[in-house]
Formats: sequence, structure tokens, C-alpha cells
Amino acid sequence: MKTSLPVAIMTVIALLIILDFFVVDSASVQWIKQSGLVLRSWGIVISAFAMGLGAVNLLRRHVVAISRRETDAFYSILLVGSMIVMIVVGIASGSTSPVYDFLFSNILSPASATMYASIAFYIVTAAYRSFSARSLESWVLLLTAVIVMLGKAPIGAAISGIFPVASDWIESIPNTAGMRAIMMGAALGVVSNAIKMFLGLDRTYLGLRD
Amino acid sequence: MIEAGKQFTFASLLLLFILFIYCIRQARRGKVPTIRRLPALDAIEEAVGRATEVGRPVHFSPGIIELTHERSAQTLAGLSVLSYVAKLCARYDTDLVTTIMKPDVYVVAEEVVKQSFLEEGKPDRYRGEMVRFVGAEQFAYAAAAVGIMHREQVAANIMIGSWLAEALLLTEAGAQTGGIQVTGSATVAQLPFLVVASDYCLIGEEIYAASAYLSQNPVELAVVAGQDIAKAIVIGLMCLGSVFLAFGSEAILQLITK
Repeated sequence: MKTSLPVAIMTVIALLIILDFFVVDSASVQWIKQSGLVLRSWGIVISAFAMGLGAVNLLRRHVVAISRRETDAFYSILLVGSMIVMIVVGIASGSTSPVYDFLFSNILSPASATMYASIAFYIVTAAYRSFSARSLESWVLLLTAVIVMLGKAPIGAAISGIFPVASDWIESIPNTAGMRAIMMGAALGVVSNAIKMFLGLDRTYLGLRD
Repeated sequence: MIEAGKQFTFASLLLLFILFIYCIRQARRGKVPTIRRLPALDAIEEAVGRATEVGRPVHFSPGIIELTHERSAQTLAGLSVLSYVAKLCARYDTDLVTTIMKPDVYVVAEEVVKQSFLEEGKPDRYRGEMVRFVGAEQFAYAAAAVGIMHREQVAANIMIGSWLAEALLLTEAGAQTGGIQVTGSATVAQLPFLVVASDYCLIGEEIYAASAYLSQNPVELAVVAGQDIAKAIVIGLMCLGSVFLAFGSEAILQLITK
């Protein structure tokens, strides 16, 4: 019962959502369209509740870290403090208020931008590790990367006009072909996974083997 | 009844359904297909084993996509692998840290890990801290996960799911802690980063075959075989379409856009 009930619910809901996508909006199948709409709204409500659970988990973990005076408890104090400030400001003045907007634009946005910017340095370290030519595949990767980089940088065109042409060819022919092949395989993988779940054959996402 | 422009897709879905049912019936009759080796999935046990030897935790992430997103299939594939990783951790008494960005995934992941420890007969070893919701914003999540990986010196970093720009931040943090990294995604834009930054990488559809590969369940293997047949049909259709177009006929093009 514990296993079959969630699978049965999932199958019925999946069937309704699939039909909602395919059927024409007409009076005879209005109930399918309505069901799809209601189910999507339920999804939003469930996500909101899940967000509450997540916040409780986050708060619990950091409050415990503070009470135990763990090594990095300072960061936990910072997190709990920021969380409380944002919740209080959000509830008291709304998420469109100037105070909330100020906190969002001047703390969260620059912090996110900083993290995003650091990717540039990580690309260099990842490239340094992976572009060491130790095998045939590494050589292919290295040569391709060198050609594409030279093709994109002004110095490549200054050395030889062939680099921009070769770079464009690599990007538009082998690269696109490879990407499309991966996308096609993945799309079929999605369908097969959905059908497995639909039939209750794959229950590992519930933590259950057969 | 079926909307114009979606009729071919609907018919294809029905045909795939019939094909998979046929493959499953064949498998139940004893014709079990074999699946090629996936070194990335074989490496998971090695990664958990090494973490056990050095007494350091295993980090797992099922990606940053919620369960209602169009790419949620990747998250579900990640949760299937999480189930396997959690069982290995329970078996070897290894600490597991699962970082989650989406709250709905957090609820499911918690249940998956708890159930896996229960199935291994070690429910007492499960701790709430094994699954951590660390923030619902992309780079806040990345900062938290990278911090956890550094502070707790994870010995293995396993990431199966869908990512965006933060993928490289996580894999580089994993590389800096010196652990084995097993990643997998069907998000084409992030695959190059995962391939160069990790030790093993599952590419595209391989993440969807993970559950079948790890369980060696005949029925699941049959679905993978069905998927390969479908792939051959699609390739055939593409070739046929190209030939038709070359001869000036749009018959195939009109059929698939119906």
C-alpha cells in the first residue's frame, strides 16, 4: 500500500497532465483542461509548503551550530540574522518595497554576481588540469580548444585567416552534430524514464528498489 | 480531439509506449538485453569506498532543477542515483552530505536517503543533516555547497542532474578537496564543463539508464533496449527526411509537423 498508492496517484496525475497537453480545448474534454489547471496550482501550493520545510531545515541546522559554538558559528549567525531581516522586511513592507529592493539589489545581487564572475578563474584551472595531453582524446580536446580560442581571439586572425574559418566550422558542424545527438538521446531517455515511472517500474526516486 | 501540430508527437508517444511494453514482455520471457559498461557508474562504488577508507564524507547533488520543471527528469534520474549512493554509504558507514537547492526536491531527497538507510537495515545511522536545503537561489546554493565541500573535506563528489553556470564552481571545489568526482547531466550547455572538470561523466541519456544499470532489473534493461530501438527509428526517419528533401519532397517534414 505504501508503495502502490504513491505510484497510482502519480500515474493518474501524469495521465491527466499528458492529456491536458495534447487535447484540443473543447467542451467535451473541458474536465481534462480543468484538472490540468487545478493540478498545476496544487504543484505551486506543494512547492510553497516544501519551501517552508526547507527553511525550517536550514534554520534548525544553523541554530544548532550556533548553540554548539561550532568553529564556523559566525557564518551561521550571519545566515540566521540575514534570514530573519529579509523575512521581517518582506512580511512588514512587502517584496516590492524600497527597503526590500535595497537589500536585494545591494547585498544579494552583488554577491551572486561575484560568484558568477569567479567562474572565469575556475575555467582556467579546469582547462589547465584537463588540457594536459596524455592520451589521444586529450590531444583532440587540446587541439580543438586551441583552434577555437585562436579563432575567437583577434590574434588568431592576425596569425592566419584559417583560424576563424576553422573555429566556425568546428562550432557549426561537429559541435552542433554532437550536441544534437546528445539532445535526441536525452529526449528519448526522458520519455523512457517517464513511461517507466508511469508504469510503476522505476520507484528508485521514492527510495525503493523492486 | 488532439490539437493540430501535436498529432505526430502523440502518435509517437503511443508507439513508444507500445514498443516499451513489447520489450518488457520479451524481457519477462527471458530475453534480457545487456547494457554496455558505464565506467562512471562503476566508479561510484570506488568513490564511496575511498571516502570510507579516508573517513571523509561523500557529497551528492541532484542538480538545481525543481520537480515541476521541463528538465525535472534529470533531477529524478539524480534522485535514483542518490538512492544507490545512500545505500552504499549506509552499508559502509560513510557520512553523506546531500546539498539541495529546490525545496520540493529537498522533501523527496530526504525521503530517498531515509528509505535507503532503512532498506540497508541501518535506520539509526540516518541523520537529518545528511540532506541539507542550503538556499533557493542559484549562486547562494553554489556558495553554500562549495563551502560545505571545503569545510568538510569531502572525499567524493557525485553530481547527477541538471545544472547551469554553478556546475563548474562545484566541480572545481571537488577537485580542490582531492576527491573522486562523478558527474552526469543531459544539459548540453554544461556538459563540456562537467567533462573537463570531473573524473567520470555520464553524458546525456546515460543518466536515464543509470537506474537500470545499477539495479540490473530485466524490466528496466528492456526499457533501455526499447529506447535504443526508438533511437534507430528516429535516425532512420531523419535519413529518410533528408533523402526526400534532397529530391524535393516535403512528405516526411509535413508528417512530423502534423
